[in-house]
Amino acid sequence: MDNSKKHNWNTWYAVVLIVLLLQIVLYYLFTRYWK
Amino acid sequence: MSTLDWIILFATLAGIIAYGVYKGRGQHGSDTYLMAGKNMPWYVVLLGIMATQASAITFLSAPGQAYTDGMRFVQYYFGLPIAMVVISITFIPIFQRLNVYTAYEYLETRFDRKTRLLTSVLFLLSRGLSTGISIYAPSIILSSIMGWNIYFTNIITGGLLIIYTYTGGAKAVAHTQKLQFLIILGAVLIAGYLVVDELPNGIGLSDALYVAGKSGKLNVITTEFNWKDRYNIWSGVIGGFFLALSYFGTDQSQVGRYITAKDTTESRLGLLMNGLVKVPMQFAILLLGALLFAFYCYQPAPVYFNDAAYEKYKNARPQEVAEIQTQYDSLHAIHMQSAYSIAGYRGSSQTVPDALVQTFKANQKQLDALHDTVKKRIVTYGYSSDNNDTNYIFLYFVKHNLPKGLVGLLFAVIFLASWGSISAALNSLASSSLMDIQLLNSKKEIDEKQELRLCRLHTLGWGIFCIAVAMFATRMGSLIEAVNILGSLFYGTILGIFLVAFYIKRVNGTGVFFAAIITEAIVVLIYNMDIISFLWLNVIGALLVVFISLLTLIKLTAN
Repeated sequence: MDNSKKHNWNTWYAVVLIVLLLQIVLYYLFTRYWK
Repeated sequence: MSTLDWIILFATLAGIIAYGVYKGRGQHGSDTYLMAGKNMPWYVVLLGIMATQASAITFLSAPGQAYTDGMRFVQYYFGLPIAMVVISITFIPIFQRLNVYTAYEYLETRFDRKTRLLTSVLFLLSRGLSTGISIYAPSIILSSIMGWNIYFTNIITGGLLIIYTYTGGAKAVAHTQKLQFLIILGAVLIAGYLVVDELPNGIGLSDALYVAGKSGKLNVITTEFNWKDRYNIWSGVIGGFFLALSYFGTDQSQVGRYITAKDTTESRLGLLMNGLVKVPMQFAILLLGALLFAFYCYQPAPVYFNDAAYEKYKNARPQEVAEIQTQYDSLHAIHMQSAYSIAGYRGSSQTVPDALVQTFKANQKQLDALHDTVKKRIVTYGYSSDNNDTNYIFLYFVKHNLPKGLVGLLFAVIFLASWGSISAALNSLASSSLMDIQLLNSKKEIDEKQELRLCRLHTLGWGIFCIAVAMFATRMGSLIEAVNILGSLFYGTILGIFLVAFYIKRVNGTGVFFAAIITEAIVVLIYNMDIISFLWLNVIGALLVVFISLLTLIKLTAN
């Protein structure tokens, strides 16, 4: 049986996108720091 | 390689084949063979997706790319997590609900048979050719390093995996990918640790990062926009998004992985986890390349990393090479001295003088220029069929710096990485050519036993085809780009068809079919004009199909 309704998918999507954004910021700082 | 290395190499490869054959038992029809009985948990889906995408090219070219061009290649993956979210929302529920064998099967339900045929043929063409390149890529490198015959190596790289892919289908592919990817990750982590550990006494990770950074190798984010520039944040987020959307959403080699999941939840979790871990993993692999650059600032480095080609050049023109070598050695000695002086200042917490950094950079430029001269001459004189040494950098380090046993394991990793992506490709090619072409037009009823026999025949046929492509693939330029460019010529169009299918309900089969044909012609034309980076071709292709399909709607309304 599909239990997909048990998951709050919108939260999952938001987490994936926020983690990406955080990474881009961190990589930008990394680039600036070691330039 | 030592005897221990050979034993580890062969034991790892034989172990994977045996494991694949064992895990792939119990096949009785296309359902088990092509979709692994739809029973896979999310973590198997995740590792399958990652192993399919990460071919040997990833582990050979990426560190080499960071070594030469810096880490900006990671931006190419920035669109991937966004694509994972879109696929989870739109694509997965539809594929799971319709219980399709291939992504293109859905297009017949939504449009018509000819659209299904067109997309599956485009897929078979692009994936068939690129899988051939995926066999050739590690083979040319391994044959050069080991001194093996390239044709023989192609057969080992592309042939042995057919044993378990042929017998066990998608189930064998999924289980071997799981094991392969864990071995690969473990070995690469150890190699990364050893790059830092092998740095000379008194040189730490921070010193290595400093020299790599000053040489422009830690340029993870580049914000300057240029249509012809391949890797910057704009082409990475936008172009990378479209590329990842078409690769994961419409390429059967990926769709075939997550439709093996037991339900929508497991498929989604696998893809979303991929969205979380893919970028950091790629960052780590590229960082390994940047650290290798620093490593060779503090150690004697070869003029040319493809040492077999360099040796041929040396034997044929000893006088010329001796002059280059002397020049290189004296330049590199000064370069090393500057690198140590920089570390000395940093160790004593003093500011590194700007003049010293400038000398270091200038030396690096001279070393690069000398390397380019050697590269050009090796290609011109025909001492190697591989016209670059970028892909040899990581294995050069492995061969000369890793302890016994680990060398064999790292060489096994190159084979495993190829096998992971090639086996998934063969399984998906067989799914599509059987379901979308042969059985689509067959009126004969066939039983499960015949179905299984056909699945296996198609797998074997594609295996032979891809090995044949590998045999012809010589002088393809930078391998990683060749594969991506090939994909981009078709990917945009295929994605456009799917976008119309999902989001523009009023467009019919004929409208989208002609939109796709016109788009493909325009994309090929733009590619030939060479005015734009290949990543943007994908965006243009997808948007053009949508736009032309919408135009057909206007025409219909006017009529």
